Amino acid sequence: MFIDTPDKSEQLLANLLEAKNITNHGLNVRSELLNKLGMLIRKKAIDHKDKELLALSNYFLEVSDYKKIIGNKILQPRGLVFHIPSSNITYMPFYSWATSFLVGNINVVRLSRRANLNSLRLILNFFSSVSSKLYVNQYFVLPDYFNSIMNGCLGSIDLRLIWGNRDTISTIRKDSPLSIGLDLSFPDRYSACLISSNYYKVASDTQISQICKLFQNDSLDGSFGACSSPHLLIWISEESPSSDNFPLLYDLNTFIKNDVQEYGSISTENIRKFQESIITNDFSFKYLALGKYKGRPFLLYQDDLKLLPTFLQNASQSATIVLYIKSISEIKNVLPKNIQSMTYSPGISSEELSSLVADLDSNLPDRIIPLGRALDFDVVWDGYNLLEIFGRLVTFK
Amino acid sequence: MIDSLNMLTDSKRELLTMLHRHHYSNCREFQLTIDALNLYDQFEENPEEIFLHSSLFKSNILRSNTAINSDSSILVSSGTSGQRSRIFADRETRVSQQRALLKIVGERLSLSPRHRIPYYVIDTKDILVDKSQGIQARQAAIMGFNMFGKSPNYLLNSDFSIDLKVLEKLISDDQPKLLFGFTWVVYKYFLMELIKQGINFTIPNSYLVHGGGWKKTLKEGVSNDKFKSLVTQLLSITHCINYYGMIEQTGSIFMECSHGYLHVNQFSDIIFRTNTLELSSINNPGIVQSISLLPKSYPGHSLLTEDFGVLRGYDGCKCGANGKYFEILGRLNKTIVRGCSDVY
Ligand SMILES: [Zn+2]
Repeated sequence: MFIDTPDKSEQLLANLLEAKNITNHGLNVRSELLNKLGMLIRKKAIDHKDKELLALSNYFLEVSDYKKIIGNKILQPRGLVFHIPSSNITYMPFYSWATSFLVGNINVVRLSRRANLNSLRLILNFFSSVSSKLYVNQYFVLPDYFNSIMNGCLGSIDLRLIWGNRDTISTIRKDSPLSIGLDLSFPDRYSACLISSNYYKVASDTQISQICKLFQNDSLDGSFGACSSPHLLIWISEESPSSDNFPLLYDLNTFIKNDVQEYGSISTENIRKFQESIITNDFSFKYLALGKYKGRPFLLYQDDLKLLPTFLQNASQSATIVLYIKSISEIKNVLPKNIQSMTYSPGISSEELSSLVADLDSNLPDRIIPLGRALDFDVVWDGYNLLEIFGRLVTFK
Repeated sequence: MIDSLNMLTDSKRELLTMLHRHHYSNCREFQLTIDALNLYDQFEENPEEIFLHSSLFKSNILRSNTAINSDSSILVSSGTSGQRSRIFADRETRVSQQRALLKIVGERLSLSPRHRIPYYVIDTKDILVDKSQGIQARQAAIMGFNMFGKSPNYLLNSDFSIDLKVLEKLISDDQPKLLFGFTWVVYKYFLMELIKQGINFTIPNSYLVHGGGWKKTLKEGVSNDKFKSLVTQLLSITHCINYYGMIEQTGSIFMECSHGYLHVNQFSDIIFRTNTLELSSINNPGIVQSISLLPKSYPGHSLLTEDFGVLRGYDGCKCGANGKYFEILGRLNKTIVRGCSDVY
């Protein structure tokens, strides 16, 4: 149900306080509903060549095939779940929702003020084409009403998920503390990308434009606004890149669509972000500006590696930091802790990756995935299996 | 291919270089943005490559080492939604901006402060002002254009309805008059209201100057052409002249010529940029970078905006005026750049 009026909002709060632990049709039915929804959305996504929508439908289909993820474990709903998704990915509310819906929870999902409400309504319209059963105990709430509903039933919430930065998380936890429920958050992180210049040097034009396309995809069209977008670029090369000699940036720039009205705001926004960031953060580290991609500077880090995490923290929201290493075996010496995703370009062999994983040991990123897959949402996120988070695993011996 | 037409003339580049140096030595924030990317060397070679994003004035009050005293003031943008820009103007900057406005508008309209004509403002006298917040841009513009007029007559009541007494006075005689208003206000509260009430009249020998607030007008699907034809139909006024300007660059506004193009002037210039922020070529739409050679008390001399427009030519406009002429096409689509950290 779409909660977009004060009346509906009051009604919902009353319902939540009264009715609890309503069984939602059974796991098999839910899985089937999610599958149908996924298929419908998939068709629409293919018809409209909508990448974001296609990714969502793939996720629905993947999760609906839950046995592949949890095997024969028995999952029980937790009860009332509140979702506070981040607004960087349009369909984020539905990723969080689908997983929890499958488990059988009552879900209250906050829609972002900044998200494109038309896109979100589109998904909700699909619900009615599948089955009215999808609406039972599933609530999508406009931000204007979300807080009063949440604050009205803090004592009844069994699980709350916050996908935000540290400030957001602590504000919500302070202003709206749960009494007994489980509070889980996914604070913002940064991600890395590994590119081999050896491959790049010999790549054909088609291969290069493929790399650019994948990189652009991972960077959310150059906005780098996702925590899985590449904020740290590890460039494996015999020689150090310079402003005159960094072919990747040149190629990325030639690859940009020049519809100014449609895409110009990412470039101007990147300029704004960097200038704001310069004014408020400390950038007094040694680095070399290599150039810009849609207004976002690429900075070759030349300072003490011990200071890299601090620089990443100050700069990674507004600039991409480039680290140059001579061989893949050096990564273990330079990779900062706490990297969320690490993508790798073609030209890095699976043997190299396996030995990298062994080398990194306790310093492994949460995901190591091919270039172009950074924005894919995985059931396992930030090291958590979401299906198991949203449910209670029942022991049965 | 980059079009040299999109560049600046040598004399303007020199002035821009001097302004870069001035703000670099006097404004910490400006200096930080230069040093972060080692752009100091570009001051002379490529001064047009140095710009601030205009939104920085929304989150910061940027000052170029000018003492705050009773002569300085903060100018606040008039937007109703979102954060407002706050511009720190000292006496020197304000005076140079007033002089520039006088020259630009005076030349275009062939008006002089020595021969003032009746002045009608299509707005209300009671623009909400919280003086502690600074001077409203709308108020400042109304006062700015007052240089050519006698004491202002406000055509709108405080509830934005038309003041019929003032309207009667406006159409009572044929002497030349200057009308001024914000495009959106003129459209919504004056023209639309005249249509509703079935009123039209003739204002001969007169000027309507309008600007600002055009984002809202465009949103309603009212183009400059449509606006003009409405004005002709309802007011049948001799000259209807649009201008493009921003609060960060008060004074050095771009005025529309008799052929419907905006022109640069001796105090200003404009550059259009592609998505990679290269100079765009003639007739290819680009992001607007607006240059004003006036601001000294704040670093607003070279600004990247969120507008897009297109350079139409150089020195060849049929109106006869020299220099670049261009069109503003609208606001860049707001692709919302979101971060994982943004819940809201
Ligand atoms: Zn002209």
